[in-house]
Amino acid sequence: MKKILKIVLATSLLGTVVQANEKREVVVSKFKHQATTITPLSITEFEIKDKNGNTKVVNLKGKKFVVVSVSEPGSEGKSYAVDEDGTIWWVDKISSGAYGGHETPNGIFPIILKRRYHMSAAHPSASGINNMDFEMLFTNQGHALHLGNTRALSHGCIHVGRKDVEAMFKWVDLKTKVVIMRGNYGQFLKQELKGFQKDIESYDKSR
Amino acid sequence: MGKISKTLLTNMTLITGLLLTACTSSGPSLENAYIYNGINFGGDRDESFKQGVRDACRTAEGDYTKDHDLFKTNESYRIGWEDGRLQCKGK
Repeated sequence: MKKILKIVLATSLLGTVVQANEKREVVVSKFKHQATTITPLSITEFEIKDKNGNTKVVNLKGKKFVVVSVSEPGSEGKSYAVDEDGTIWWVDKISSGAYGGHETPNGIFPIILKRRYHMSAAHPSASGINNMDFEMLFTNQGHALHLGNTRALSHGCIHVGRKDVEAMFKWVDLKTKVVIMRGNYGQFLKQELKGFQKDIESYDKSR
Repeated sequence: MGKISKTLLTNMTLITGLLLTACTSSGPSLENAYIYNGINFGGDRDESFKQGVRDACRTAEGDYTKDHDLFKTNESYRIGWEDGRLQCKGK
């Protein structure tokens, strides 16, 4: 009887371990191709860690760039436009690549092409209506910011709503960088707005 | 009777005074105020400040506008731009 109990107990424990391993495997497989992690240190500074654990800090001070915090749990689903003065001047809601191999890769990329009108070659729409208008391409694999439904995940691109994409498209140029990251960036916007408030108060006091 | 009239007169004066005070605005003064987009950006603002406000409010509408040189060197312009960014919001 005791032996049977031991066998039952051991089997159930083994099952739990296998289940836990399966869960862990699923989590790993979601992010296994995210070889790079990007951690923002300030509005303009980013720590980049590669797959070997090597880290470096990139400072985009003096450059204009767009930060995308992807639409995944633990991230914001927002993008932030930062100008040459390090001012976050625009924030919008976005959606990014879906789980299962379409996740938008982390990294700092240059905008390599701007196209006002475009239809995806890899995923053309059945309706024949352009599905990548206001395209701002940032990888050779076809990743781009473009007009899209922000409530639907993508094949890896960043979907931006109409008013937002119009503002962004007009502003970016081929020197603009795109930072794709997991995690939060909104804390810097809060800091910036508080700083503005303080600046205005001290300006008024000094007059 | 005279005492009652005196008390009544005093009370009436007090009530009238209170009513008049209640009608007075306690918000920021509109004297010399710079109003843009229906927002009061304060009094005695110089032209650089006003330019900063106008640029930031345009930016808030999605048309990015900023004089980077003035933003770095002219305090009034910078504060105006920051105030416009805060109050015109947009985003």
